[in-house]
Amino acid sequence: MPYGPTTAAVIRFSNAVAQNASYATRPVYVGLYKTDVRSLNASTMAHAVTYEITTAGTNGYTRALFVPSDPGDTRETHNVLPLSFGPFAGSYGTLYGAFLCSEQTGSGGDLLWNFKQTYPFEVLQSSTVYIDVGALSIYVGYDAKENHP
Amino acid sequence: MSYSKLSVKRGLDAITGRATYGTAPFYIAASSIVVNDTHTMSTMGEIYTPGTNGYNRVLFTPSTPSGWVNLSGSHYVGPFPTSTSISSLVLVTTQTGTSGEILGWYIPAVHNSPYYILPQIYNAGEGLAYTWISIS
Repeated sequence: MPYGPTTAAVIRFSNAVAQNASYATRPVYVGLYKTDVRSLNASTMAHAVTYEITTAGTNGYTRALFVPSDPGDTRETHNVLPLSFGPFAGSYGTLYGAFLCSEQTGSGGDLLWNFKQTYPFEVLQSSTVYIDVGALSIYVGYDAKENHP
Repeated sequence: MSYSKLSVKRGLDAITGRATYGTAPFYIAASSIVVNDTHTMSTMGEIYTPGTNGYNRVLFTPSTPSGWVNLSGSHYVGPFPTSTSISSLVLVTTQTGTSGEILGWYIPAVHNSPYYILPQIYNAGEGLAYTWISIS
């Protein structure tokens, strides 16, 4: 699964555009990858947890709430609050990216989007990972098949 | 097919869970101009007033998507009493009038040619791809 939207995200997008299904508001969360998933199948939460930095809710690691901006006319939404993870109880390898999902723990729910970390780095014991406001940006161009994660 | 700003906002909000959206029908309109994001229901250059000259906006029946939106079944615009030049197919939220919103548009590949559509557009079911029934 390349970085960008998953099938679950595309279906939600399509249904919303086509006014074909009802969607209620719900919280979504950001988790961290310890693996570069570009060439891997990371299209469901069952896959995502395999590559997650450590088990969510343990070892000082919790998936962080993603508060989205209003897309307005911009064709883009992003995190309006900074995100932090840790401090971690141990060293858990290299952080390669992040994912957007619908559940704060476990392997259920929707995996929605995979983000790539431009400069992977080691997650060390007692460290905290920060993601700045606007760093996780979702953009959909005029042709929605051309996504720019 | 291009998605309007409104569509993208709806889609992004559905992904992030930011807002609630319900179900509603939408329609295919035919325009004589090349539609883009600056156009509105009033300025989209619809070929005729719906209900006249054999023209009506056509109910878009989407499939249950396994990915990107597809049409379900065949969709026709026309037949028209005379040759009619169509430059854009426009997805709109209302069957008549100038209220409502533009959800997206499709620019037929043939729009730069001098061809005229007669008498029907046939939508083959893949996105807004279509097959010409007859051109002259």
